[in-house]
Parts: sequence; structure tokens; C-alpha cells
Amino acid sequence: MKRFLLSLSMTVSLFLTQGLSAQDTDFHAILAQVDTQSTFPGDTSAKVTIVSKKAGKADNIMQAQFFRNDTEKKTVILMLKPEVNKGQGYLEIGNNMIFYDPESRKFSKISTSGNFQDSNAKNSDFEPSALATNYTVVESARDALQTKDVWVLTLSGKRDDLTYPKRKVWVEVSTNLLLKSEDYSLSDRLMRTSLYGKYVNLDGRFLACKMRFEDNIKKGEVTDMVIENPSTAPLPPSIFSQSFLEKVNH
Amino acid sequence: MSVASMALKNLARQKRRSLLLGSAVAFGILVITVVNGLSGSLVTSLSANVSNLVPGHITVRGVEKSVAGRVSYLMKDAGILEDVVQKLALPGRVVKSTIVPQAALVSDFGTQYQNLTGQDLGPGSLLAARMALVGGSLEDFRGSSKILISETVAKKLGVGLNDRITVQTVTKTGQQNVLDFRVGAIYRDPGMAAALAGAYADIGAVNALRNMTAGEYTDLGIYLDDVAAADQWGARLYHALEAANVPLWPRGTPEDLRKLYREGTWTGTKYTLLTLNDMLSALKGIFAAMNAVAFAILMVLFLVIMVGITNTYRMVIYERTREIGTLRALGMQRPQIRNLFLLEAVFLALGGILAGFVLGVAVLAGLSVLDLSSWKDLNVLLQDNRLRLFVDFGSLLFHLAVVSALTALAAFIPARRAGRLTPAEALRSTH
Repeated sequence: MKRFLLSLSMTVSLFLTQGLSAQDTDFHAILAQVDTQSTFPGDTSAKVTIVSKKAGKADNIMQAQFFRNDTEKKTVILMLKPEVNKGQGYLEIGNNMIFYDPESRKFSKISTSGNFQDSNAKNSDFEPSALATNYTVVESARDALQTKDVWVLTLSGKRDDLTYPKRKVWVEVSTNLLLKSEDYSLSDRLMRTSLYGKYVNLDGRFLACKMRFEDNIKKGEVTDMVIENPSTAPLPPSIFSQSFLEKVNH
Repeated sequence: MSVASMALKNLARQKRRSLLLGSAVAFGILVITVVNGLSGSLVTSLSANVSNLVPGHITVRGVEKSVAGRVSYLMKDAGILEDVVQKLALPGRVVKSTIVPQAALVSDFGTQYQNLTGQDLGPGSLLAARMALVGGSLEDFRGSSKILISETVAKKLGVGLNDRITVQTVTKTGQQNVLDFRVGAIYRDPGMAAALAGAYADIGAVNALRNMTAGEYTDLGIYLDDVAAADQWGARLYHALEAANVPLWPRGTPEDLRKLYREGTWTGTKYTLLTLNDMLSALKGIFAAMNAVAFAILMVLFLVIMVGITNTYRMVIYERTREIGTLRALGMQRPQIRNLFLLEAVFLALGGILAGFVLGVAVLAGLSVLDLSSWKDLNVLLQDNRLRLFVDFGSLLFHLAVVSALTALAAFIPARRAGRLTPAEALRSTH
């Protein structure tokens, strides 16, 4: 009986502490911190390898080089592999994204919410996080993800043009790094689970360098993304232009 | 005795020669009649069968591109379009549909990407009346989350009647959305026209998937009383929409238009008008090419036949020089002699054409009684599992004119030579 009362009082006190700390925590600030940590003040570049797995199909292995300037909201992704897609390029300036096809030598406007090269990664997965801008926290809880102490935040979209109107994110309490995300449809069905396994620290900002995107609707569809050779060395401004995509193909 | 009856008698005199030359002409006409008949039959059946699967024989679709570059179908300012269609009084029925391009149909066994059409599928609807079902029924589709899929898609997804299919697409504003449907009916596979077909569900359920309100839609379709008039009415509707200052895409095939939607940096809403022939352009192109190749072969064949006719008539005139001399001595004039030989050639051609045409029609009639139900991929080209008998009288008249002219042309030089022979010279001939 004594042991039961002790454990009960411990559970209640833990619940109250967690409840209090959840009440006191500014979750919007946490989301803003997640965004800030993934946004680089200057240029960033890295090579990315994407392995897309689909049931009954051979793995599709792709490689691309990406260049980012988060201050000016500019991104360029240049396909390196497979050979058939080599030279294809994506240029994003602000909210506009265009795709360059070297075969037809034409640019076309595409949506950032589209899937990247028929994988489960979205074009927007190459951009810095914008959780605080796009979502409000509607529910919060403190939990453990594997061995890590995390905030589990349920987010609701502020606008009706966001790819996922509802998301659930797992943010590490000690680092404010995003570790996991569940993306839900308008009908509240789990559609995609994203896992961020490893981050690299670049001048005090963090770049996720090992990610997994799992399709929860289409069973067996998984995409792994590994980022290598990240750099914050300054890039020539001409990279973020249509002429760059045309030039690299000549 | 008239020149024409003399020409006919001369043909009868040389039975074997006339028969051989006439058979060559008949064979060419037989081939072209069968090829034209087959392609005509296939195109007619294709149009009739596919007209059941598309959102209208003429359809006006709203295409919207957001500032963020997202292309989606949505009918804005529907009132103006509906007014134009009403004022034009098109002979047929107007049907509103919501089209979801390339929706993902997901089962436990796989994923199939299909165009999903939301329409009123209840009793009395055009689709319900025209769709060839192999399982289930459309009777209780109205207001339900039932889905109609093709035999092939059902097989690929490993689903049967009442099984669950999850449909994934984006809403009209670009949000991901997923809804569950139950397989309510399965339709006969359209084979090679599968790309034009897709999955069908009640417009209410499809609008819910696209987060559209009850009255919204993407396509204003017109099912005409006479499908053959689709192009004519399509052109009139296009001009009427232009006159009403409706922003329109240029006319083109669905493939051309999809390219236009993607390219460039346009934003806003523009409307596209497609007729059944636009939608079938890729398939019809195959048959047009088939007809063109058959006509080219026919022309090569007739060049060979023309050489044969020229040589034969040179020989005929050589053999009948004394006869020509006698006719000239009896008072027959040069043009009459020339026309006699020309008419012989033309009668020969006409006989060959008619014989070839009759034989061609007989072959087509024979083919049309064969049961081709085992040709699953081609059943969209068949009517009740059989080839429809199609006889193209227009092309018969065209071939009559072309082949007669070519035969007359081939016989012209020898005939002119015959006409120029002097009576004394011809009578002196020892042939």
C-alpha cells in the first residue's frame, strides 16, 4: 500500500510538472527556433543522394547537387544521376519554382508541393523549415522518441494551400531539432511519415543529412535521402538563374 | 452503231485480255475498299464506344494556375459559360462533371493512376445508360462513395465488388486529401482506349475529395444527339465563347494543351474546349495513316497497271491497224477513233472498279460476322464483339473518278496515235 501511494504520488507529480512545463512553454517560439536553426544566413550547398523504393520495383537511385541562399529565398537543384535525368534543374525564387528540361530546352513552372522526381520527397523538402510561418500549435505533449526527450506538437495549417493541412512534429527538447513529422490529409488520414535521423552543424545552423520519407497510403513506398559534403562557402550569384541551368547543360 | 457500244463489243471480243486487265484494277480496288472499310468501321465503333466514357462529346474545362505554379481544374464564372451554352441551344444534353486528373487509386496490392470523373451516376444518367458493366450496378451510386472502375484496373489492384479503394489526390487549393471508396461496379475494359477512360464516382463524393462545394464542377460537357456533329458544334461554341470574352486556350489535342498548361509563367483561369475528335486524335491518327498508306500503295499499283494498259493498247492498235483503216474509210472521224479506244479503257476500268468494290464489300461482310470477343484489347473498336460493316460510298466515287481518269490517261497516247492514222496508210498495213 505504501509502495502504491508512493508510486501514485510520483506519477501525479510528474504529470503536474510536465503539465505545468507544457503550459509554460511557448510552442510558437519552439517552432520558430526549429525554423531559424534550419535557415542559413548565407549560401549553402551539398550533394544529395535519394533512393526511392517502391514495392515490386527496382530501387531508383538519384543524385543531385543543391545550392541554397535562404536570405534571398533562392534554391537551385541540379540532377546528376541517373543519366536520363542528368542536367534537369529546379530553380526556386521566392514562392515560384521552375523546372528546366535540357532535352526540350524549355522551362516550365511547377509547384513546390509536387513530389521530387517521382520519389516520396517533396520539392519543398529541400527548403528551410517554415513551420512557424505556416502552422499554429493546437495540441502539445511531452514524450520520448527512442531515448530522446521530445515535444510532440500537433499543428494546424494557417492557410488552405498548404500541402498538408495538419502535421504532428516531434521536436527534441534539448536542441529544438525536428526529429520526426507526421503529415495528415484534409480528411485527417496519415499520409507521410518523415524521420530526420542525423543533423550536421554548419556555423551554428543545422542541416538534416539523413532523412527517410515513408508513404503511409501506398504501402512499401519509402524514400531515403542522404546529404553529403555540405558547405557554407559563398556561391556566385549567377548560380541562382535560368542561364546557369542552361549553361551547365552546354 | 454508237462509239460506246462499239467499245463494249471490242472489249467482249478480247475476253481474256479484258479479264486480266480488269482483274488487276479490281484487285487494287478490293484492297482499298477493305482497308477503308476496316478503318472506317474501327473509327466509327471507337467514337461510339468512347463517347460513353468521356465527360461529353464537347467539353469546356476550367484550368487554373496559381501564383505558386499549381495547375488545377476548376470552373470559375460558370454562369457565363452556362448562358452561352444555353443561348446556342446545342442539340443534346448538358452534363456537369468534376475531373480529377491522375488520381491515385490505392489498394492493399498496388496503386493505379487514373482520371477520376465525378458525375451524376444515378438512374437516368447518360453514363448509367451507356456504360457496359461486367459486374455490379450504378443504381445506388447517387450520393454514395462507390466507385466504378475498369476490369483491368480491378485486376491490377486485386479488388472485386464491395472492396475498398483509397483515392488520393489534391484539393482545389492544393492540399493533400484521401477518401475511401467501395467498388460498386466494374465496366468492360476499353482496351486500347483505356487512357481516355478512368474511374467514375458520384460528383458529390469527388467534390468532397477535391474540397469543392456541392454546386462546383470542372467540366461542362455536352452529349450531342448526333456525335458526328461534335466538331461542327464545337467550333460554333468556341466562337460563341470567344464573342462572350471568355479567356480560352487555343484548340488542340489534350496532349498539346497539357504542355501549354505547364509551360510559361501564366496565372489565372483559362478555358479549354475539347471535342470527341480532339480526345480521339491520337487513335484516329493511326487510322488516317493506315488509309494514307493504303492509298499510296494503290497509287503505286495503278502506276504499274497504267504501264500495262499503255502497252496493251499500243499492241491492240498495232493489231487493229487495218480495222482502223476500214473504219476511217467508212467515214469515221479521227476524234471518234480516239474516243473508241479511250472508252474501251474507261469501260474496262469501270468494270474492274465495280467488281473490286463488290468483292471488297463481300470480304467486309464476311469479316463482320466473325465473333471477336477474344480480342480484349480491341473491343473498343468493335460493336457487340463484331466489326461493324462500314461501306464508304464517298471513297467509291472518289476511286471511280481517279482510277477512270488514270486508265483514260494511260490509254490516251495509243488512242491518239490510232486517231491520227490515215485511212490509206492503215489499209495498206500488213499486220
